[in-house]
Amino acid sequence: MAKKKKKVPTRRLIQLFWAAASNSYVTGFAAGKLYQGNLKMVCAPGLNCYSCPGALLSCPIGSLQAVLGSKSFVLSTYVFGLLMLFGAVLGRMVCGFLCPFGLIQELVYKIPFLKKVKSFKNDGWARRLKYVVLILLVITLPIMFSGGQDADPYFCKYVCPAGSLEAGIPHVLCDRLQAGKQVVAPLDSSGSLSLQSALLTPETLSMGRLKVGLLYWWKIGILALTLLISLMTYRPFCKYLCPLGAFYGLFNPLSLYRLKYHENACIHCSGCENACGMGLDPVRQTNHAECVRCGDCVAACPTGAITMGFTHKKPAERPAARGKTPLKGEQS
Amino acid sequence: MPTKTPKSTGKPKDPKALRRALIALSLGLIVYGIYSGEVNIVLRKAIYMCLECIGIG
Repeated sequence: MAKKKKKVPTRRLIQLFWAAASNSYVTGFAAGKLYQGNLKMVCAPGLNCYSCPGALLSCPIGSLQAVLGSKSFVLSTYVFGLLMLFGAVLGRMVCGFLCPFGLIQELVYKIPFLKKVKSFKNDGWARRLKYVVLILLVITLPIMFSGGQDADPYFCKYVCPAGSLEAGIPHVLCDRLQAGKQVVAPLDSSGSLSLQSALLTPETLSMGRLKVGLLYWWKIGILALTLLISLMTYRPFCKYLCPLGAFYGLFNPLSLYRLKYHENACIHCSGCENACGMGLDPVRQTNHAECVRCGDCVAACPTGAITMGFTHKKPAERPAARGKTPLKGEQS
Repeated sequence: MPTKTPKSTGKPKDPKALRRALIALSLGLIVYGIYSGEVNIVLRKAIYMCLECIGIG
């Protein structure tokens, strides 16, 4: 049992490591600039805004829209190829392990505030919304409006809360800080104005290069709503809106990294179903498109009847099958 | 009386062949994309601040 319990912290460590490593351009945060090296030719597997000051890799959804919406290309073989590769090898393990925005939602969900809601009426239908987002905002609209000039990245522009959190807020803050420093610098000698008070003046707020308007606050609103709902339900953005999750979900049933249900070891205690934050029954819905491979079901199973990985060891048969009464917590 | 056994879930077996084909296809698409210059568009978009992503543009 102790061995199994280690799996959740290991995943969290991988999530934290990946989020930090893929956003480790510290100079960007300090100066409000972006990394401009060749690593940005490669798309990150998870949703990670390429305008984040620390980002070393490109956002796959942003890149897909950029290529589809460009005058030069009708299809994006490079980005689709990368996404297919991630999907065929990892499936939605990307969501569970390598998505910084998924990590943030999970951490918010951990806060013991507001009642946790696992499902609601029409939850299944609501989850199909992310396929509409993928087909309409990410693929169709950029292709449709890429005639004379490059089309807008509609998902990034009107929906993506990860962009607001990872890029919008840091850049606007950095911009205002720099504007504030410009105000303070000449006044410092006389000592009449502190940086803090300078930042709070309407004059300073309107001084930055980045002009904040309705669109900015609309996206901040979506971000705030996402985080608020994350207090109540597990990974709401991944469940209902994420086009990347929708795409990877298509590959879940055949990806190399997968869950395996060992019927002979199962004692049908429903522990896995109760543990699943995505509201699945891992026994009946093993490798379902909604499964983010978090491994909570694996950790919850007392007999090791569900395994997760690239390879799978067959567990021992359940005690009942050997003519014994199953013991609580018996390890196979 | 025989013990009631759980119903089989009837899931298909590990689709190895399809997975291999997909991986091969995706590698082919990536190589073609690099060859056709798609990466330049990805790079160009990624190294400059995306005002739409920030919510400014």
